[in-house]
Amino acid sequence: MAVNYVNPLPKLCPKALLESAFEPMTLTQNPPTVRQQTGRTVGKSYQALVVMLAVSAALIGGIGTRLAYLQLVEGPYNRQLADDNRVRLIPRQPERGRILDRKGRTLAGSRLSYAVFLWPIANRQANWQPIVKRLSSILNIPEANIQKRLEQAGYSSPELLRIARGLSPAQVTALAEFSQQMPGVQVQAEAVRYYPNGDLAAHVLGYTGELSDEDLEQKRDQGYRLGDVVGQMGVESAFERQLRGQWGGQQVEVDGMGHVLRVLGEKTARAGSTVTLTLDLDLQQAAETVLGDRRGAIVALDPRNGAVLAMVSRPAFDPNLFSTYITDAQWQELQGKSYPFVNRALQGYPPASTFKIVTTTAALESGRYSPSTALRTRPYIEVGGIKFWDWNNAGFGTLDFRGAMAWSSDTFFYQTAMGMGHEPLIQWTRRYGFGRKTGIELSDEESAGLVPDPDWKRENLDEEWFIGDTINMSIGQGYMQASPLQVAAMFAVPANGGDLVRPHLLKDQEEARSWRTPVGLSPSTLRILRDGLRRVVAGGTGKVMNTPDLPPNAGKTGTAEDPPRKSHAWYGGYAPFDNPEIVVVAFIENSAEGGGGKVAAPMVKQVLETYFNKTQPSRESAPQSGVVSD
Amino acid sequence: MSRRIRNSANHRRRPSPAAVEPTAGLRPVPPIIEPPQPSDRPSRSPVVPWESTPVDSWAMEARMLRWLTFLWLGLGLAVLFSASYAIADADFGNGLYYMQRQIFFGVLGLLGFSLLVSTPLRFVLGVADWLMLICLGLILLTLLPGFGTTVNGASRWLAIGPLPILQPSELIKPFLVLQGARIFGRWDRLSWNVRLTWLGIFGLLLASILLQPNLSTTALCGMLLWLMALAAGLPWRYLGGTAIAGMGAAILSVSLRDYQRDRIISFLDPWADPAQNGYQLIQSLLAVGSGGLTGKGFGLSQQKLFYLPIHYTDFIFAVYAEEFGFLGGLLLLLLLGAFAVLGLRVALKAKSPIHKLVAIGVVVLLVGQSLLNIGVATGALPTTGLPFPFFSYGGSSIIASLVSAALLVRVARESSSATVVSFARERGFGGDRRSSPPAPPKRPRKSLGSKSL
Repeated sequence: MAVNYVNPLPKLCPKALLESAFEPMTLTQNPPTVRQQTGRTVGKSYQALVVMLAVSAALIGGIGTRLAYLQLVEGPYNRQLADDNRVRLIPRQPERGRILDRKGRTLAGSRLSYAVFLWPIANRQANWQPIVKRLSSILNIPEANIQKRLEQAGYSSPELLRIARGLSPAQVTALAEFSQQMPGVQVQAEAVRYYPNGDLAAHVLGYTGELSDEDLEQKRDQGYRLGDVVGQMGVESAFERQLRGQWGGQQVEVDGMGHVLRVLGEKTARAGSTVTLTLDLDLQQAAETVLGDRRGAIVALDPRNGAVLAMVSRPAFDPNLFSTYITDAQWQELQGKSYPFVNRALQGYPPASTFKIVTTTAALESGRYSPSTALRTRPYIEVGGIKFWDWNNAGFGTLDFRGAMAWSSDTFFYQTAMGMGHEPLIQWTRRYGFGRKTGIELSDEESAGLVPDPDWKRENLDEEWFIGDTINMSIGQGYMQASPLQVAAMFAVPANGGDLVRPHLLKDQEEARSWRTPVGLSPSTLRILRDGLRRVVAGGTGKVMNTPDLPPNAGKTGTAEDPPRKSHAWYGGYAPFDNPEIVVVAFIENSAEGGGGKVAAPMVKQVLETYFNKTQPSRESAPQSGVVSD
Repeated sequence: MSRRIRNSANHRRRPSPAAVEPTAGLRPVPPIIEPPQPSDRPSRSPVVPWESTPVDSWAMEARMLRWLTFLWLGLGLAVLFSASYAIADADFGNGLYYMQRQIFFGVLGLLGFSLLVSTPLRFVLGVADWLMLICLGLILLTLLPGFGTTVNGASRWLAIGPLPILQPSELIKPFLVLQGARIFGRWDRLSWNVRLTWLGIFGLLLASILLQPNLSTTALCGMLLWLMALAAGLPWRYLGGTAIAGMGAAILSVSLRDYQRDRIISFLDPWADPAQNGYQLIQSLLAVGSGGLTGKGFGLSQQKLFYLPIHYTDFIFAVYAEEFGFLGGLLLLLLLGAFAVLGLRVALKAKSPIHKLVAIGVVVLLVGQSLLNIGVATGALPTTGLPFPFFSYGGSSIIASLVSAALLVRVARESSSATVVSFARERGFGGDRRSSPPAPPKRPRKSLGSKSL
């Protein structure tokens, strides 16, 4: 029978195989052994079979138990997890509240734009590599950035992760073309912040941007999430809570590829509240135009309630840049400007001669001088061997307070300062609101300025207070620092009859509107201040303001020395003189064109013209030559 | 030969005294019973010309195993249809892409099945060594750069010209069973020369599969050989030694290959790394678990919609469990259990140790592999790449599975022929078909089972 084993190919076998594999040929020679051995094998195999049956039964039983555990005991839980697999929450970003000017014109809104989202769980980590590479080339974002975002969210995150906003149509097309090769990448329309007026009021409005990693850590418990957009500056930041709104979401059912099959539920996002500002778009526009490309600031204020009608700071930036991904080139260009993100209206500078309002007040209220006081002005006065010159190096003869204000005679005020001493001056400086924040909502960006006093000087400069310090301070120089907004608030005091107001940006903020604190001026002091300021325009350093196009107005020029750089130019004024509605302060940092009367006053004039005559200044006409230099 | 089988089987099915004339084998007795006419046998094999025995005259085990195989195959095709449609539609734009190929190989396998159940086992055994060596050669070929098709980091596939891709490590399984049976079934009568030669070949086979790398198939083949050796009654010291050596090799492989180690670690706690190493297992557990008691219904699996990777091959059980639930899982286990019991019964009844071992090997191959696969899908075992016989997509797998099942059915058929004589003697006992302790009385050497000895 062994013949059956004869293989048709024995000749091809290696010798060993031939001899071994076909052994049966020789085996049959030994039948008795065969039978015996077979018996033994069979007998053993019963045991083995029993063992195998037992093992099979145990295996089947074990698997049955495992199935029961997975499907019955943990079944509902597993089903829930599996449902989570296909049910995805697409967060819906709330539309950010709009920012309007006082007349309801849009300063900041939203527009639809396309954003790229990644769904991290859709791919395994290794499979993201080529996708990220392609995305990087389409979106012009470094690969590392995308990679980092993915790692932050976690590769198993089922939540959509936005990696780019504000796509161009070409980018949207490119992404759609490659969508087959890029599973887990989605393009969705979403609202992005839009500032229709470009860089207009950029510093007041601020900008929005995605939460930084550090901020996210702090704000996570407030409901912020990765990639959330927050106000980063200005009103956007100050009124974040009102503007932000509430996240909504869409529960959608998706297949494993991430395609939405149907919408299961929707929680609508609650849009942020509209914030109406006190700004007047026309006035703001005029102020922006007249300031032009100079470094500086213009602030317009309603002296009756502190409402900020315009606030310009230059250089500025286009906040729209930050609504989407800002490129390196754009960032470099911004950085090339001189601190474009600093709101100069809120930064401290020497207020120069505009400060003479405070000096006049202090001198009169100190009781050392009466409204009828007249002093002889000189080319200079010498104190402790130092000559303090009048600005024209000649003096103006004998002047009373009104005349001194009109001509901005430095030596007049030097003498009053020496006469009253530093204490009343410092006290009244504080009363006018200097040295502390005005209370405007942009307090994060506001500088308190500086009111120097002997303690401060000892502490910071380790020097005694000299009379020269009082003299410098009396003309708003030396260590004195005041922001254009503080200066505007100062002008509001004589304008509104002696009250300090709280500058504010939120239009319907009744508390701020009604907040008025009397500075404590006696009526005679107030009268002298008003007359003096009026005479500046009527026949003093601010004659450029004396124009038939404007109602009678009052103001004060100022030129702050900033050696070795050029001087800062100031002009603050209000109109109409008899019933003031508006205070405008213009400040030009290191003005190359001249002092306050020459550069700053014409700017204020044009802003006031816009306010009263509804005309817009043209860019060319911006600064007119002042008749009198400060 | 075949007439003998036919007649004896006939007698068992209709145990009327007249039909069990001992002389039936020599000459039919027309007057007593209707002669078995060809027209009465519609189920005569259509593909195997020399097969003259109708299926319904086969031994009970053979018939039941045959139908269980068909049931298993049909169920598997249905599950594969559900599991593969979506992904085939997504990948190839043809939802039936995988089904068409599976059916093609299924038909091919069924042809082989019919051929094998009608072919005396000794013929197949006679060429088993050569077929196994050819498959081994193909496996070695996959290791050569340029021949092996690498999928997921493992070179398990061979593309032969225009032919579809071939997985020799699957195809070799039935021949490994046959050759293992030949060696271990006659262990005591083989010289050490022969024993060591074949053990060396088996070792080479395992090593080459391991190098593909394919740890799970290596482990399955190793366990298969070991269990067959155990059933053959090899000395315990050999078995213990190889078991330890096998474990050592497995540990070595795992410690050398990061991906295998990661899989085992992630199997212990898949949630530790849910997006990477644990992803497959978690998705499988979710699929199985969300099936609940009665399942989501045929075709309604969610996880097959691209959440669960390779759900139409190695993890097809997860889709089945999701669609048919715990009850479906129990029924499938029942099918496996029935197959195992029948297979082991066949092994018990088989006269020849070689046949016993073939039966045991096939049971281990089909049922054991299924259980391992289910264990993987349910997270009871580390994630490995074993296909589920008759369920998983794969031409080589389905052909190998059908060939294996055919071998078992053939063993069942041939075992029963050995009992005919004893039944004839014990006809008074009705259905008792166990072989009686005394040796078959008259023509034991002529029965097919003993011939191969």
